[in-house]
Amino acid sequence: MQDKDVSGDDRSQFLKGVARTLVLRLLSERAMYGYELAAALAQRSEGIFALGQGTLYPLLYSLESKGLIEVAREELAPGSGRKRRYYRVTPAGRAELDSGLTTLRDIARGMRLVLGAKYA
Amino acid sequence: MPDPIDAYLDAVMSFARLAPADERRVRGELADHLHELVARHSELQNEEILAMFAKEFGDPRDVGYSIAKSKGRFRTYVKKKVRRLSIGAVVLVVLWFTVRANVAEAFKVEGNSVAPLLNPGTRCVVYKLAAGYAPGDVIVYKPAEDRSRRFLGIVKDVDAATGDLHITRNGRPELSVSHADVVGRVVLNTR
Repeated sequence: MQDKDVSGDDRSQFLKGVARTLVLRLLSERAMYGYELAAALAQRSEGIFALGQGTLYPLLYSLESKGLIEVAREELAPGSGRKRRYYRVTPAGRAELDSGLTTLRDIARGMRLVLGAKYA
Repeated sequence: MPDPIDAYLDAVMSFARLAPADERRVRGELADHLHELVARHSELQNEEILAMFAKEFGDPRDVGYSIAKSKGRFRTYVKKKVRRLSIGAVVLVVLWFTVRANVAEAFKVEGNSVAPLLNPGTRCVVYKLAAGYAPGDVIVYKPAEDRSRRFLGIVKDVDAATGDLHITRNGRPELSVSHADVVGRVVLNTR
């Protein structure tokens, strides 16, 4: 089957790995729908995590199928008949978030120690 | 020119090939997102909108494939359904035969042996787990002369010691049926 890497470059692979934890973190603050989440991610990271917004959905679906997030509610988008799905973190997702944050903290600390203050 | 959102989603879905229910859900969700994007770029013309989607949202092919990976394709869904259905069918068949052999079985009355209680053409259900029989019960039994056949009879008397039944058929006097040859009691009929 077609198993093509989405963009192939290391940067986007790395960002995607991190994005999982960031998405869990944002959704643990409050339930959000797709566009809102993409916008929050891009804005709060000053554009560093403005990854192709389409890649957010596969991430959401796989988090959902693993039971880490769930649909909190559905609402109609104002002024249209379109349904919006608000996702929130499940208890399992919270545990996953904690371990993800620990990993990220370790990575950040390790890199700062190796590279020195200039790159941290 | 068709609506750029539909055109883009058609392309994504053609690569994702999801199960129908998943497709409806994903399509609706992505459409909402794309509408938001269009609203932020109201100055764009149709052709430019598609290019903007590719840039901001992603190449339809990449998006389609990665959604398929996270959601599971239609083919996988069909395979799972078929597997589940065939397991269900086997279970049903086994259950059906178990019930027929041990609990209840339907018969069609062919002769006049217990007329006018049950006439030819009547269908009836025979309950095989009956704890005991009483005079007046209509029963089905295997005749000693041909054990592949099923005969009807009306219980006249029960031998308390052996459990053997004295029955009548065709209004003729009593006939003894061994306890072991009794199939069961007629509990329902279409008369």
